[in-house]
Amino acid sequence: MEQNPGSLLAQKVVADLRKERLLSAKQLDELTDKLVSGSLKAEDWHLIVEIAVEAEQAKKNAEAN
Amino acid sequence: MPKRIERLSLTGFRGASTAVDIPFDASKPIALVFGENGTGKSSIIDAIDFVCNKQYGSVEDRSGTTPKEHIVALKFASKDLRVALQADGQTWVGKLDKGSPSVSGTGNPPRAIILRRSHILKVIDDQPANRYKVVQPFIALPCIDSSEKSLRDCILLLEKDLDRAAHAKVQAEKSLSDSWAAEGSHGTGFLVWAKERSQGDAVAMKASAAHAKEFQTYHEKAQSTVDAMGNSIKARIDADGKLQKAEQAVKDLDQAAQESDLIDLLTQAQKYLPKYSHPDECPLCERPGITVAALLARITARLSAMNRTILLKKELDSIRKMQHSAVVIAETDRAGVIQSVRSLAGALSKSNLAEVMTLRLDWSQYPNMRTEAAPPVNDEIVREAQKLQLAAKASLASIRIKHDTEVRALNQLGMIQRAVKEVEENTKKALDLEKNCKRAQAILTIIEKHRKEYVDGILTGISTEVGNLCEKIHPGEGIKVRFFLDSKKRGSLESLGEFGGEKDILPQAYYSESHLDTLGVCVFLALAKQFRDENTVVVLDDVVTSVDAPHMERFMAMLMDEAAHFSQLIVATHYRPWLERFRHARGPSANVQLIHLAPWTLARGIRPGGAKLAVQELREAAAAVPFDRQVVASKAGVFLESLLDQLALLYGCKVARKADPSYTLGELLDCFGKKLRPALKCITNVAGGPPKEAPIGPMLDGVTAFTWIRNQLGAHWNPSGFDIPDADVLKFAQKTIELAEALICAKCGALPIKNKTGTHWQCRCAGEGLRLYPLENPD
Ligand SMILES: [Zn+2]
Ligand SMILES: [Zn+2]
Repeated sequence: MEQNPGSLLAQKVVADLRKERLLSAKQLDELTDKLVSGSLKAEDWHLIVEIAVEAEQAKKNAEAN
Repeated sequence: MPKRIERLSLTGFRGASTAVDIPFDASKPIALVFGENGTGKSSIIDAIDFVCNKQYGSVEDRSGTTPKEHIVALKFASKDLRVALQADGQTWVGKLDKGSPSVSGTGNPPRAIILRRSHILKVIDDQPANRYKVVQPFIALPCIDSSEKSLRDCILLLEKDLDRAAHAKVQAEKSLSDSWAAEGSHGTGFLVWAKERSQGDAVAMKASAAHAKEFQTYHEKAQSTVDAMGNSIKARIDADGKLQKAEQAVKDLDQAAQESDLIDLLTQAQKYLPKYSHPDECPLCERPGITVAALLARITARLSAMNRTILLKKELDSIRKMQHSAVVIAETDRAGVIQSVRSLAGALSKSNLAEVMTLRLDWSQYPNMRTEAAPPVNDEIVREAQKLQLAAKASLASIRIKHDTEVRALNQLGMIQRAVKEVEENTKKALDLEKNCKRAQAILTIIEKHRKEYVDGILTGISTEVGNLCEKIHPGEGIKVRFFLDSKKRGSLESLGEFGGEKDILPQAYYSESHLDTLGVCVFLALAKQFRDENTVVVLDDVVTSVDAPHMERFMAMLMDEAAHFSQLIVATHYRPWLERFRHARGPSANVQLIHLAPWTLARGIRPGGAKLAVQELREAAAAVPFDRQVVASKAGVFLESLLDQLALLYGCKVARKADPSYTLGELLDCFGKKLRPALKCITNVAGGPPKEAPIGPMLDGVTAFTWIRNQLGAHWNPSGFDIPDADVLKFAQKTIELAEALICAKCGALPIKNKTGTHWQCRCAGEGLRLYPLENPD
């Protein structure tokens, strides 16, 4: 990918999100491009967050069983 | 080769009231466009803005103007407006298309960063939000900003949903709490109560209510048949009475009734007699004197008397029929009563409803009501049915109440079940939404943090750069400004400075106008430097107006240095010393193209011309055939003065103090002392050979011998000057040019007046160039 200030910033953001485990690995892999393209709408974010929280809950439930 | 602007052609644009070409020298990184006010400098800068940025330029900043109208030159139609910009062999043409700038050409024109005075005031003196707008095009990352904004929107939506779920939960809880309170607030709380209540068996409750309803229906049906029977019996009695009366009336007419045969006979005679052949005799006894007419009259009289009998008989007939149907209806209704009461009895005998049990019915009294076979209809049985109906009726009201109560309970159960579901669902929903909201917030925090770090990083870099640039203009004045974003506000650029040992001061409050002016330019240059690419052209439109000559000098020197970072620097100015500075080799003219704008007129428009170096002008004047003695003498004298003045200044030579520091040629030539004069020498490093040394002292001596020619020929009306031979005039010019060529670096075009090493004076060349010795004045 072309290294411009936007993509560098997006990469830093994604690295932090990964560290904090705020999104799933698969989501994070796709996020850099989406951030740089500026195409994310409010409803896209909604879906991203919902999926991340649900996946985490499912994992917790699986571990509990 | 960087993409430099090579030519700008204006037709009908702003001040170009006639078509004009401005050639730029693409071999030189700097173009100095000099013109007094109103000569068209801004038109040239705006033309670059128009093609490179599709902007209206300085016209846009003026309030109360419509840019698209004001960029069209007088006498021109907007469709004829045309700006052609040529760079690196390619041409881009800007026109007005439906009132908007439109540019045609292959690829992108050079990237032009244009700085105007209005921008400078904005970046330094305006509100932080407006200040941010000026730097925003440089530091914004539109895609990241848009992602960040949509995430904020997402959080707002989540918060709204969360609010809605919480509200729905509260509403449902309130309705449960109200119901609980209405029932006396028993138990530990309304929710426990509601959950318990919501377990109620709706199916059983529905069945029970339906059972009560069914009873109600049996009762109502029985009641209605009893009522109907009452009515039909009344109607029958009535009909019986009427029949009796009618029969009596007919009986009273008995005599006549027996004569019904006679009525028939008379009726037939009435028909026969008009046809009888002997109208004058009786058709029965054949006696004359009894006429048919008389007979007919008599028959008519008799029949009319008998008519009442006929009517009464007819009436009796109809009453008889009516009475018969009343009898039939009464019988049917009696049967109906028996049937409906038997249905009721069937339900009663099977029911275990408390309301029925309390009736304690003695079924032995109603033997005919519970038999399988249909009982005959007779008075006794009808009475039995009526009796049972009356006995059972006592339970109707309580059954009705029971039904209504059960229906209400059923409705309440539905309400409670719905409300409990609502509470449970919205509790879960709110929990999920809260999680999502927190997650989105956490993501936003990270994006915000990095975006701020990015911008802060840039601003820190720019602050440092601004400090460095300012130091070049204001050496030792301790001006330092720090730019940063206000963390509490979005899009707000703050600045704090240092001045006179004070820290964190507001620059606007402490710095002078000239400080702020130069500071603004430095901010822009720093931004342009940070975000330049290989094709960035920086254009300054008369940006500095309020500083004194030494600052102007340092400012120009700083611009010369900074020009190296851009593909081209175009400086428009009305400040004449900058032009003369280059013309007289006080700056590195080799890198600078000088463009001199002549006064503007409507008929001739913008008039650009090249400005020649003083030495070149002198050379050309001397080479002309025939040459102008006065011009040559004058030019040589003035140029020589400027060279000597610079040298004398460099070495701090002693000259007689005057109120007005303008010295004569003689004074300047005499000021170089006994030790300095022979020590002066210039050394040029020549590639591949020994350095070329040029002693300056002998040259000064050589030119001194001719300086009188200037006063004789170049300054005054002086007839004795006519005797001076042409050869001597040309020698004066020659000696001056020789000195200039020795003192001015051929490569950079500047005098060696910089002390870079502490050993000698140096020209503006980056590496080897021209050196002047000695460094210090030995006298
Ligand atoms: Zn007769
Ligand atoms: Zn040089």
